[in-house]
Amino acid sequence: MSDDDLRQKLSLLLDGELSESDSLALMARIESDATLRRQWHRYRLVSEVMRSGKVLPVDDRFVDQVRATIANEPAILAPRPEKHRYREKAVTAALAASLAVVAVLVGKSVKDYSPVPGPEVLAQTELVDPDEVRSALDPQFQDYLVTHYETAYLAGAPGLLPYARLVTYDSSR
Amino acid sequence: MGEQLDEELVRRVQRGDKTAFDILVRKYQYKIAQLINRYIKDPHEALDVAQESFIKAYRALPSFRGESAFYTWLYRIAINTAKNHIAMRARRPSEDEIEIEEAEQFESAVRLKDQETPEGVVLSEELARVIQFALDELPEELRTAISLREFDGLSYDEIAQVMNCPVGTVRSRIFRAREAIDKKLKVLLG
Amino acid sequence: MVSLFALSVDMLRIRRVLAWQICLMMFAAEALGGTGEPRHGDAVRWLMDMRQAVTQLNYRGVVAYLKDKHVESFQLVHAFTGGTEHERLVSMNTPLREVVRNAEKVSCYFPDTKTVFVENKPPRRSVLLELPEDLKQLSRHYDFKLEAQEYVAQRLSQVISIEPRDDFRYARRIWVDLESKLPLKFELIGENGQAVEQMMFTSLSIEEIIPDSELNASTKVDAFTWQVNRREAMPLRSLKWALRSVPDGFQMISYTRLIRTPTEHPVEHILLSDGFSSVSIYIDELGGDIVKGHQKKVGAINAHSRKIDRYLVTVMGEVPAKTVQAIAGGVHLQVNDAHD
Repeated sequence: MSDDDLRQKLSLLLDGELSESDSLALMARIESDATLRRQWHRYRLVSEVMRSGKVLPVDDRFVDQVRATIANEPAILAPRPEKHRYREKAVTAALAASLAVVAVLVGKSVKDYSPVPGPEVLAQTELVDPDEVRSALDPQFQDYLVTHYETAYLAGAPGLLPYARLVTYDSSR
Repeated sequence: MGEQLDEELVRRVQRGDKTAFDILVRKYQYKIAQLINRYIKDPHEALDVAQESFIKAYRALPSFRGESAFYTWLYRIAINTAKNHIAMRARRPSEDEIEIEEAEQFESAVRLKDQETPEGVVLSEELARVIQFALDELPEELRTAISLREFDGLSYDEIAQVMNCPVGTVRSRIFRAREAIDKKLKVLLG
Repeated sequence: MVSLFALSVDMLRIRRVLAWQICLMMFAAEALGGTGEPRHGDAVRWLMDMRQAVTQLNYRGVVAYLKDKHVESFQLVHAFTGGTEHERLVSMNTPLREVVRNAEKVSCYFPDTKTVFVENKPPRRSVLLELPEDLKQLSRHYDFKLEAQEYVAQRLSQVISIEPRDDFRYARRIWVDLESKLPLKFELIGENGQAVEQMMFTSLSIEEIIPDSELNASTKVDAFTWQVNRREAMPLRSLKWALRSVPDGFQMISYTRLIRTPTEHPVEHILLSDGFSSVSIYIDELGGDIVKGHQKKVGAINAHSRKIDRYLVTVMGEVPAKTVQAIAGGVHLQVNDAHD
């Protein structure tokens, strides 16, 4: 995204005209990008002055100081009951409504997950010789695999040479 | 839309993500500071109290059930904090929470005594001058667009209707206006 | 859940380190006062530099790729022109494969099956996925460490180890070229401590300019069946699946519908990632066919399928078997459960 696009988005954010997902992403970026943050503050400043004719000199120190105090506070781990709540341990937090949007999923802690196969599990773990597995791959599974390879780089894993898996992927076996 | 955004951020904080709270603070710091500045005229003191309000809000978040919008809830905490601060300063410490109606009565009572501080006035006046100057220099359509947004509080859709142009044009006009003002502001702020 | 708190403290430290890279003044403060683990921050810095080098440099080389006891080699050409990435990968031996990427469009040529997969990467709209935010997230679930310096392809490199903090993800080791910051070698390490996947440059040259001719597909496609993969972004609110046992740190990256020619049969695809490891969930409404579910392992990829009502749910990713199993086990149709 060019700087211009980014600043235009900032302008939209200020006016509440940006989608929820874009807003969240941009706000997170503001937190980590000093140039963007300064721009945001100047836009806010102009807006406040135009609206009310005056403004308090709020700057980065404000957030920094609040953050410093809160750093010493315990983290809150008290998800409130949600409107569409399914079960206590189940929280699927749908964040926003488009592709490439990050939604945080906090499932139940699976630290102590022990695989108890439900009735729906058609086949239990079937660790076979790799060559044998390849031959058993149906076209649909191959399609899934290629799609996974193709899209996984969206996740931005550093240094993976994302297409290496694709180019060496052998569909004939 | 803004409420959903806040809801999501609050949910994240409630799941232990403190960085989401930073975003909320940054989002509302101006509004809360301005609000408190209406009761507490000293800008430094007002900023301190504004910070205190956010910290109180953080501590109270586990019990925030989302029955009201986050900002309404935060607004109430800010007013309570300002009231308590004034009461403490007057050596009449009061830890009692006040209800929102009471707070609003209090708000209007205090506003009568509202005064500008020299510092705040100087900065605001200088800024206002620069902004006015920049506005005057803007091409007509940019000035109209930004004015309808900032002075009249119209949404982009409404501005598009008023100016009889597509929303995309409104978007770009407002952005270009902000950019032009920002150029002047950068000079002032160094 | 206690661990979350401990990690959030760590996260704050990362944030300091990241801010440090942006602001010189904070740099000084960190250098004076940061008594924590400076090597941790250094490793993060190396990874950020590497990420930038991978996208923004022009280079060509030969990469050896090892998985499932097979070694394959491919040529890699990468160019960054006018702010856009171009990349071409060609396998060196039979079966020939070619992958060409132009900015957001990926084309995969499989000559032996006369198939071309064309995938349009949707515009990357989430800046949350970009560094440094990304690494802040990552540090909750992985430890970064600077290890020794070693030679790879006769170039000196810095070894960085990335250790998961639980057993739901694999460890990684990356050898980063001292000079260019490109990753010279990469290892994904399985549960038993053995590499399940390895990639290594056997030759590498950094170029000023890569001619366009090297970036165009060489495979002749005239006689191929063109399979164009369509992908539709889906609003999350239309997601009728609850994911109840996703290990901490995995986030939803995308929710799309894949539409495959010629049947036009749609498959829902949810991509999860913790920043390093990614997991795909495919949900296919069965058209009366009987499809067998499996636990499968292909290279570093583990997959697990199960049937829920009339749907076949397949979870796969470069993660341990227990992770895909856990995620698959937690997939539920929401409509059945919305009782409160």
